[in-house]
Amino acid sequence: MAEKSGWIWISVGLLCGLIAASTIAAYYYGEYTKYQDLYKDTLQDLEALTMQVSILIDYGNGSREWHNNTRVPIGVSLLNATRMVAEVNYTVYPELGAFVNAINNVGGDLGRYWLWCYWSLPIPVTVLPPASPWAIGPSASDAYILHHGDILSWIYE
Amino acid sequence: MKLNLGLSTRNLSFVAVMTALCLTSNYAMIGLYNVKFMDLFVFVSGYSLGSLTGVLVGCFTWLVYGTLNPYGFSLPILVATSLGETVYGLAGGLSNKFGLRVPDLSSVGKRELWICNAKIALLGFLLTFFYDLFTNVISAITVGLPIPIVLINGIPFAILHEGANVAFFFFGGATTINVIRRIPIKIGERNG
Repeated sequence: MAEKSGWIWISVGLLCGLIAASTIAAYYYGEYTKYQDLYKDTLQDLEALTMQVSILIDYGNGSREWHNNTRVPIGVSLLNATRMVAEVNYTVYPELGAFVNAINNVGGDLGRYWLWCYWSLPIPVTVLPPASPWAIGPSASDAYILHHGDILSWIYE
Repeated sequence: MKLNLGLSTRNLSFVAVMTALCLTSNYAMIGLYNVKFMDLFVFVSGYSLGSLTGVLVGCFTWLVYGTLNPYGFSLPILVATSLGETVYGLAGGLSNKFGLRVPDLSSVGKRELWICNAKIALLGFLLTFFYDLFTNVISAITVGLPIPIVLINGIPFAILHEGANVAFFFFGGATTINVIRRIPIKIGERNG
């Protein structure tokens, strides 16, 4: 009889544990869905004020650094967007615009310069690609205003 | 017509004293949401002097505390909490009837007392869970919110309530029952 009573109390204990575990699981599931919804709402708000661009930094020595889907404010220039993802040393020349001397402390070698390029092919690629899909940027980097979905690169060559 | 619930003067006095104890402790702890000694006292009342006594202590306590409450008054919630609270008293009486033995204080430090404390704490947890579930469902219906939403949002409060009651029932259950045993109620009855 005592043995039976012991099992009953063990069962009651397990039932309490089950209730506690289920309650905590339900609570964390509720918190998870709540914060997921909040995240989605924030992202929607953010999308009204920002856009996504991808920036490649090619150090010219085989080392490449992609900053994919980087969220930047609407209306930002390439120079300022690059400064958000890397340390940029540059000089502003009146009437010509900004000239980038170094990115992440790479630069200043004789005969080598930082050039910025943009992705010249449609995405997905539907045409025969040329030798390089990158086209040289048409203006100084501080004068180029980014658009949503831009794919840009800094190439040290 | 005579209504006889089988309650002696001794039991009624005990109901009055325990109700007063529940009320004073409730008002003293009013700033601590869902942390109250009341549930333990109602359970102990039921255990010590029977289910009906416990039921009455729980019901009377809520009739006063639910009416004179700085957080407001709601009749459906008052009914729910009054009914819910009686379950502690009912369970206290039934647990005594069905063999939950609480050893006297001579067993302090012995395994027997710890096991008894654990049993009372388990009962406290289960009773609090059902109380919270019941009152939350009634609250949801009263304010017209979906029941799952109210239950999920009530989980932190329920965990606090259940955790506090497990601690109170574990450390205070057997002790309070033993304290009540030492009150010379029987002598008073003999004299009366």
